Amino acid sequence: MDVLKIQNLNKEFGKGNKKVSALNNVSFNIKKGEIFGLLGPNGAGKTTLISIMCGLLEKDSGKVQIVGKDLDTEITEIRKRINLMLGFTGIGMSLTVGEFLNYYCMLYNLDNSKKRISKAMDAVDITDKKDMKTLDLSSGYKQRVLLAKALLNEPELLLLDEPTVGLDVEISIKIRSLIKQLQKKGTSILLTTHNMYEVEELCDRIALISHGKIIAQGSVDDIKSMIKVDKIIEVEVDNLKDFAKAVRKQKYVISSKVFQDVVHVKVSSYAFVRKILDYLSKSEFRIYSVRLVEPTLEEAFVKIINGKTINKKSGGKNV
Amino acid sequence: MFKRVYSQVYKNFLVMIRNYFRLFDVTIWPIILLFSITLFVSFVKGQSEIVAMVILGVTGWRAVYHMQIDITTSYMEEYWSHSLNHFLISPIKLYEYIIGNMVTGLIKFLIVLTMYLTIGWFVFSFQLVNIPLVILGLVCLMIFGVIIGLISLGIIVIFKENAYTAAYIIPDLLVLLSGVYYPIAIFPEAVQNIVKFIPAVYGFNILKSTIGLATVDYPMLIMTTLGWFVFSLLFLAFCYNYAKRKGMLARMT
Repeated sequence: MDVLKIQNLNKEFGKGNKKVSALNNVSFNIKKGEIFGLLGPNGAGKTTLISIMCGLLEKDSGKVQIVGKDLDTEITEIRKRINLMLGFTGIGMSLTVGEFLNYYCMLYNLDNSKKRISKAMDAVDITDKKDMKTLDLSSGYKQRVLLAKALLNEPELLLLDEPTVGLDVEISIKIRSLIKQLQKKGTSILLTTHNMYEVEELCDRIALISHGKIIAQGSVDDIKSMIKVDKIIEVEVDNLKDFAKAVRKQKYVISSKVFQDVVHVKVSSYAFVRKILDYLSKSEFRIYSVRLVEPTLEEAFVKIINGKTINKKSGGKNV
Repeated sequence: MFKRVYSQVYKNFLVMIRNYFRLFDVTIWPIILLFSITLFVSFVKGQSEIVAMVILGVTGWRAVYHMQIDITTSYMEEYWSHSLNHFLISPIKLYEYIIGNMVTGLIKFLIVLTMYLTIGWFVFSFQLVNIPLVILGLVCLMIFGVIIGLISLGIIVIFKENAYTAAYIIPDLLVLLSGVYYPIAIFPEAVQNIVKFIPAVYGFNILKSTIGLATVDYPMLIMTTLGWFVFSLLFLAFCYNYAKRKGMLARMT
């Protein structure tokens, strides 16, 4: 079942000749219990998309269905069943953490507020801050309070915008673990972040958005396989400089470079990777390890966003 | 619905007891306003009816003020605390928000009213005559306060803090034009022709009529109140939809 279904969504800003397309025929869906990453450079349209989904911005055309409800006609019902956490916003009220969360329990018309508040505070480890004014919290704690707020109504779809930005390593790990737990309980999550490690660790599927258009979507592996990159073989060897010099003489080697205690040998295809392996097996150098360096999601992201996707045989959907 | 309406009362009172400015708004400032005018009137040997008119006028002014100010301030409170977007995506409906802030305004006004009646009685031997009529006058002025609150909210939804000052200035200007302590006959005729379309004129006249200092044009009271009320609802709806269309409701970042 799709918890979120977006079809041909369009939004323009401005008038006449100065019209700018913020979203251009955007379509994607999120299944129940799926973590979906939305990636794109600043100004790509991610915020516009989330604003429309939350009913804060009117779309020009297209269809948006959230938790099976139509955004145009059932916005209140949708709002009861989704929640949002924005990493970059703060909270600065003179309410204490406990009062702030209680206020949101009222806004969401929730029963058992004490139990819900205690559970949410426990989940993000802020129980000891219950009586502190939100105004006096550090930005990291404010983020945690906002995440606790987003958990109060046990949303079916949770929108997380940069949930760990600015947080220390320990709490970031805890929040990522919490996101996984929520997924296990069936919560669907739309995650926007610039942290590629977070995306690789958490997301089942991702979509890349640029200039208001979804330019690629699929699993992390699908997206990685969409880019045509040179293959890099990392060789740990006893005589780095001599090895680099020797291997460079092979006509199929594009380059070889020494990186600290390894040599990176670049070739253009898997066929040449095999040739390198043959060469290594016959060479007189003492080889300790050989590893094929896969392209990172970050690399794929940059290449796809810059329009350098070439590998059309991949499983990903390049749209 | 009740919880969402109550959420506004809950938040406003917590903010009020923690924020001196908000607390003084229902304690110190109303008392200063009352004394600054009543003491002046006593000093110039004003008749007891004039003192009564001043007390009723100040009371009516506070009725307008408290009913409108929370509708706008509560929204700005969310904006200033950077949680407006979180608030707006919650399931609270606009009318629940408005009712919640009307209730807050009413409670605050009742606190001020109690203070005024107590001070008026002890210091100036002031007593209400024709209580039902006084209540009617205050209700009319409270409705006018809500109308002004809705119009100010509409402006604030689009212009945020740039328009918040207007939320303070517009009601005071309208009240002054409504003949708060004086008949509107003191204005030039051109101004009179305009201000007779302000419902507060008739609300203040009801209060003044309880001490025999004015007569009330009830048909005009009803027509102007209805007209302004319908206009304020349409204006707020227009501003909200415009802001939603243009992405001005709340910035996500």
